[in-house]
Amino acid sequence: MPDFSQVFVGLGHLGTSTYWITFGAAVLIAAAAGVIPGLSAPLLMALAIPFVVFTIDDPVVGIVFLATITGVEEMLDVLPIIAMGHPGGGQVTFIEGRPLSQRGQAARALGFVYVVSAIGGVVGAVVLLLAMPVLKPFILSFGFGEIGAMGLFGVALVGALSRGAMVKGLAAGLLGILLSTVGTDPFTGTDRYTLGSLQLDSGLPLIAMTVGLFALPEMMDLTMTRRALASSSAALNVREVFAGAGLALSKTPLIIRHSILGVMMGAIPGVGSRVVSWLSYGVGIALSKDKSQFGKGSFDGLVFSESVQSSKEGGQAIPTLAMGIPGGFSWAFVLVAMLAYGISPGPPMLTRFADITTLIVVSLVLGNAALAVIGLLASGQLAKLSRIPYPLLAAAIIPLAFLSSFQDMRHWLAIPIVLGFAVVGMLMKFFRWPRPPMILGFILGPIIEHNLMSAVSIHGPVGMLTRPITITLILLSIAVGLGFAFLASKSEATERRMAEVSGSAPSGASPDPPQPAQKPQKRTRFMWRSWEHLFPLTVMLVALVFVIEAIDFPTRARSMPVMVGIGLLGLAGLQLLLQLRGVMSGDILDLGMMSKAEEQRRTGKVLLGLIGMFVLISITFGLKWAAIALALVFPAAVSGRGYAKWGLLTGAFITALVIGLFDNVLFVIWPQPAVWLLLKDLFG
Amino acid sequence: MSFKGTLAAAFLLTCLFIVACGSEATPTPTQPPPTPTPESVAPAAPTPTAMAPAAPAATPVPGAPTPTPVPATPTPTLAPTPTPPPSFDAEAHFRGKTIRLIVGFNPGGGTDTQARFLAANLGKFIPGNPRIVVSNHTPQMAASNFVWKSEPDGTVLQYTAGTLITDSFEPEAEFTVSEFGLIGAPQGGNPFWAHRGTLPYTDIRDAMGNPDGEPLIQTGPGSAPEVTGSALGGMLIADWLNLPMDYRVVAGTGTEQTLLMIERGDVNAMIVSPGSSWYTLPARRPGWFSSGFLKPFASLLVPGQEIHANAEVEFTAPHARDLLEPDQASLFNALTSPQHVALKHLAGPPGMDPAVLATLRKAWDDANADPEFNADFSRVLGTEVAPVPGARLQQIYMDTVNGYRVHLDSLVEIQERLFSKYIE
Repeated sequence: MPDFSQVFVGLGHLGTSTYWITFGAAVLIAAAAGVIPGLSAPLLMALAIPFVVFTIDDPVVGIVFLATITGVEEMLDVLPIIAMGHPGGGQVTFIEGRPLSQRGQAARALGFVYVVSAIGGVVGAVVLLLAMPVLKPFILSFGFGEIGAMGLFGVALVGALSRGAMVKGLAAGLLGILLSTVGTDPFTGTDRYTLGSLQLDSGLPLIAMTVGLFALPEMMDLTMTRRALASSSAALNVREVFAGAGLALSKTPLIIRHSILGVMMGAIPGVGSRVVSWLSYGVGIALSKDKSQFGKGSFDGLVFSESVQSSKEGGQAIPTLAMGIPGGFSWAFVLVAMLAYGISPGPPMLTRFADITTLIVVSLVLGNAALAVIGLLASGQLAKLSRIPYPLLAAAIIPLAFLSSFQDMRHWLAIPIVLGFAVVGMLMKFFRWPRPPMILGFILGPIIEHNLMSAVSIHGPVGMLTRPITITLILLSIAVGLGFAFLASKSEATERRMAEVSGSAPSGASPDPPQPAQKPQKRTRFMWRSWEHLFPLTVMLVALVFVIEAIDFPTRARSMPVMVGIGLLGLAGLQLLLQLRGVMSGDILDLGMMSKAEEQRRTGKVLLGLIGMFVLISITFGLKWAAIALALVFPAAVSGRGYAKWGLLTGAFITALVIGLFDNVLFVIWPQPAVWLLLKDLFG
Repeated sequence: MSFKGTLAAAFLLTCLFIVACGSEATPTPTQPPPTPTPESVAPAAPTPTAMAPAAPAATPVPGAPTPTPVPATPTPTLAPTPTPPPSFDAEAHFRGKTIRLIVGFNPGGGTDTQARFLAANLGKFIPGNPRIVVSNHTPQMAASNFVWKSEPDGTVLQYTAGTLITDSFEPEAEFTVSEFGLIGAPQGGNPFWAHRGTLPYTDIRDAMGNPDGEPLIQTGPGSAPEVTGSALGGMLIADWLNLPMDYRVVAGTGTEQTLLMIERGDVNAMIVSPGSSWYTLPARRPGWFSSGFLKPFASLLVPGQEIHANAEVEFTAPHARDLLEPDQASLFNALTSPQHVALKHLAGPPGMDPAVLATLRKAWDDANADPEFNADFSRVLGTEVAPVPGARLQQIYMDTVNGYRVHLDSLVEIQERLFSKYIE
């Protein structure tokens, strides 16, 4: 039973100026972290925590400061996604948000998302308050087996993300899982596919991979159009923002449904923040009647993604406060501060320290509301960023993407990883292989492998399968997977029949019009000569290499890559066979090529030259100079000499970021240029 | 050029970058890295000198100062920290300079937070008050390799976790751990073994010689080479004392995860090797010890270390070392000490000018003698600081490495035997 006298003590803080100053500072920091690409709230909290604990004497204020940042940190990060075409970490939001921006609805989408996030955040805080005393048994009932089964359920949802290209989607999902096995195996300590690199011991870096696979191809594609995201006639004003807010309010039941899902997923330690929006998106699509709307600018899709992002924070607070188990990365900072202040998590949070719990809940509610208001008021103007010709935005965003990837991995290897995956991503876009299943597979791979194998070790195979939640989730996964396979085969058959009747290609994935010219072929006619076949062939080759390499691993390290690799070999082989027989894929849930062939030929060469320049300057003068140079020359190189002055602006922005943030806040150790080292070796 | 051609060229360019840019970040200027050589002091005995100070537990994350103060740590008999020679102008050497403190972990972890505390507070104890900044350079092995090759002028230091000794025997290590210029450590490790109160044992003595009794179930490694540190220590003791023991192989066995597994009932025993939990658990999991949910099973301390009461209960279980035969204790100490001699330490590259090293060691000692610094550092650590001076730490590391090296040849056979007995 909560100690109500302490609850009132907590509420009493709302009457002090100290609280409001601290709260205001936290909201502003969270807003800055959301709006400025390259900054993140966890990074700022990591830098600040020693100072917070030793300069803010009042633990209530210090903890509320960190909890408020944590609770609202991701709310404003939709701005770069929707208005600037920078996917960042929000790929799901980008898939639905970019088509909306292209339709001139950036302002409406921003207003919509801020209200969705605010409702999600409030639901998270309310559930935190209500469920904290009683949710411990639920949290403890999710062991390794249950979390692993949740991962399997996520894989089943790949079907939802594969739509009319089930084989391609499943193969992409397995490729993601296979790539997630790179790194030191946590069971045996075996280095898997690390090529002797210490930096790959902890696996392929997610940020560099997603920047390469998703962000860079999108940014390059948009750059090649040389147009703005939105047309100049698009309505980007406050009225549209509030129309979006109104639309969101009309979807309150849907938002609450997914917010509660977000709280539940957030409350389970080990599920991870990155997977919640993908799982919610998959569940949302599975439960939707009209599945064809997704990936084309669906407001419902934005609800699935953004409501859980906000509400999961309330969920993650539950194990943090109730059990002392950090629910997420940012909540670990709150726990650190609590312990440093001498505040014990667990039952005391409802008795002795109920004032702190109360203030955390109130601050989460107020923080979400405050950021929603800031977002709504600013979006009318900020949405106009989508009218700026994209090459000018890309001049700042592309160098930043390289720098962010490097900063995350702290090694030059991040750059070739970004470039390598950018080629893969571009090919997937071009040949219409869906990328979302690959990202989802990459995120889910470790969750499945680590948890299921741990569960087998603890409970035994039979014991694991007799746990009610585990077996329910596994059966549900199988049912969902089969259901999607059935729906996909039905829809493909229908599309094929329609195509044969009309003689036209199946409907494209995205609203982005140009797709590679593909005509449906009769099943009996083999298509031997096509660039498209190279992709499944390469995937088969990769799978084969992974399997052969895994043969020497100890059993525990070998199981996952061998099983997944063999599955991938089969699926990629099947896809190749389908292609050879001229069987076309149907509608896919991904953004197709937006630029036309002529634009690709014209600007593609320029982009390649710019990336070549970036690489050359990196190895001769260093990475930071390469990023600055890229930002300087990008506008003029892509859009013509008339835009050289814009290059001064983007160059100055990147220079300021490099000097201000990277050199003087993060004190980054830059890699030495290879040419410089070579010269030193040669001449001593 | 067609778009497909452009993609193909981009792929080639990526390959070119991988080949051409294959350089680690290297500190400038660099000195030729000393070739790893056998330790300068020949092993006198197979048993390493154990950590002298009886250090209270440290924690990988800042934790609460325990409500009951940890008993004062007996001050070890230490070689006095050498004073910098009068001819060396330390103030002139450090004034206006920036010391880069390398951390081999991401921002936000325990080591990083402690390093950021040191960066903010240690500079005022160094003559000339240099600015200290933290640079994260992951993983720890890469950070140690980086510092090893840095200019030994005191402007590049490392704050690192104590697994450095075992790291130094890995093939990727470019360093010899005891040749780093060790400046000091805040405390030593404090490993202990605990079990759930549901087991019918008061402590290890009830379970000895009873291999068919109700088993202690805990997490273990998934391959023989991973049988190291506390896992190795636990298996050795279980083997020698015939304990009823069962192991589960799980992914990731950090303290937080192990505590969650204990709470869920996945396992019923755990060895906490970082040593943080004995003193900080009463704050992190109030009531676990006082209610009997968790009980101390044995201490795994090496000779010279002691463990005291925490905020809830006395440590009533015996030291495992006292239950072993002398030759067993010797082997146990040699093989498990590397993880426990220091949880974290501050170090500089090898070959530092003795005057610079002495200046930094003195700054470390002065800082820890300062009541305000000491109190704040204790808050960061979650328990009292029991500082180990640099000169003493250097000797401990040398002895530990040498003791460990003596048993390296037999280590593989021991690991395989124990893995085969308990895991396979």
